[in-house]
Amino acid sequence: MKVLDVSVFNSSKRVFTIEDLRYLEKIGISHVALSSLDVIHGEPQNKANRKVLEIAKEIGLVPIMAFNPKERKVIDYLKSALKDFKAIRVYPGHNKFSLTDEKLKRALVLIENEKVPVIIQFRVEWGDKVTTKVKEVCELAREFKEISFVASGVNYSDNPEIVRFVKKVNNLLIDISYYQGLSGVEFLVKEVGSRRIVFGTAYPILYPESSLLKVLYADISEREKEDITFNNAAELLGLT
Amino acid sequence: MKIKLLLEEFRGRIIDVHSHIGSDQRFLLDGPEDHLIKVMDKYGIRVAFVSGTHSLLADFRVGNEHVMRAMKKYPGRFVGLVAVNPYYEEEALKELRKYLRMGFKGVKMHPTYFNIPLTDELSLRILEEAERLRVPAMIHSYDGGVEVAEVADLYPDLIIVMYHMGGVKWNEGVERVKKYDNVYAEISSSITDRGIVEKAVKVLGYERVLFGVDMPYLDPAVSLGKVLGAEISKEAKEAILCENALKFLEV
Repeated sequence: MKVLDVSVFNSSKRVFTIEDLRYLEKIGISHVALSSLDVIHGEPQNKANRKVLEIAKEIGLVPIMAFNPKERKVIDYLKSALKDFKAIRVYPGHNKFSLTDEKLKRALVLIENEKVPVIIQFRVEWGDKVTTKVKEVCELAREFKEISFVASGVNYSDNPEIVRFVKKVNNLLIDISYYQGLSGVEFLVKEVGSRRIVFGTAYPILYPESSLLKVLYADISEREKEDITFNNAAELLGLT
Repeated sequence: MKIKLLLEEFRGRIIDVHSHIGSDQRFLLDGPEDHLIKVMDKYGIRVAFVSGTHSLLADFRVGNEHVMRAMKKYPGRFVGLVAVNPYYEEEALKELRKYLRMGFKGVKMHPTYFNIPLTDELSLRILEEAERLRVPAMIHSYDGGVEVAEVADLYPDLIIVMYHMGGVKWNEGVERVKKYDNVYAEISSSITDRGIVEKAVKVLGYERVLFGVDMPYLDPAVSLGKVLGAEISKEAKEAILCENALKFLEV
């Protein structure tokens, strides 16, 4: 089974190495998409993303751009750097911006033209105060219909909004890295369908084995498992 | 896949010392006993120690009755934990004694949901009774083990299971209870930080670390992933998943 992990992180404190890749491969994760966490700790995004690009190129990962619309000259940066990345990841709660932020929306116009997916990170550490709402992401997805959005870092406390809002938009997917409720994968498949779910582990912050078990032991078809572990994210990141 | 093979080695022997029967409709989580059994079978969990979600969120009497029914329906698969709200004073103590006579094996305390500190004199009366009756107290702990350490000091003969290892402050939690031999750390919680199990084993020794799931809030995959993915010996994994909790079954 091919497994593409859309939520693997690099940071200055914990640099992702070839050993990490070997470990993930050993437990069954065949493809890795890497994002920087340094942008939530104040490092300029161009520097943080350059490191991700270097690592990705060196050991064969899919690079994701961490994007903070609050920095200066972000649109210029986006224009010059977007071509090197397969997706954008934003951390609204950590970088303290709203999903209605004007600069974010200007960036999304550009991103929409380039058809690059956007991952919206709700939480990184479990102690994080989560300010982003699934409903807000759905509103953004309605406004930018050509962008595929991924809600990452959601957990069972978001279930009521997932049931209520996610079904109403087609261009929003859910990453299971932080999603933990009992029979949660079955619940999501039932509510939104297997084509709207992507696989993530939040490695090296969380134990990646938990996400693997969530899918491997879910009472869903093999085809649905393949959608979740690989097909959806591969399509999203343009790897197919 | 390797992780599946690893889990299969423990099939049918895993003991979950922390779960709940019932639902929590705030989050659209459903955990009726029939579903829990199905999930336990799927992952190879032999026994789950359970309290009722209804006991914690609404009426402790209704939750305890629910657990009793589940124990009768699935003999040997569920071990009851009596949940009592300390504010109900004498009635809570009576409920505790009643269900222990009926085969429940411990008491569940949830200071947050019951909205009363563990060190309040009303809570202490419950713990004193548990110590007198020689049954373990399973205590929800999300404060880095502060309250657990205080009561462990007061009741050295009371076996305490610190649920969630102290929560977000798990690092502090295990350090804080290290000196109390009567305290065990249970690993379930949303907190799946890598290193959490390794830390518990390093500080407390694997004999004092227990496997728990916390259904229906968490799928067993969460805690199983923590133990199976931890960089600890196979002997330690075996002890945490299958052996350490046997002593609680024999209460």
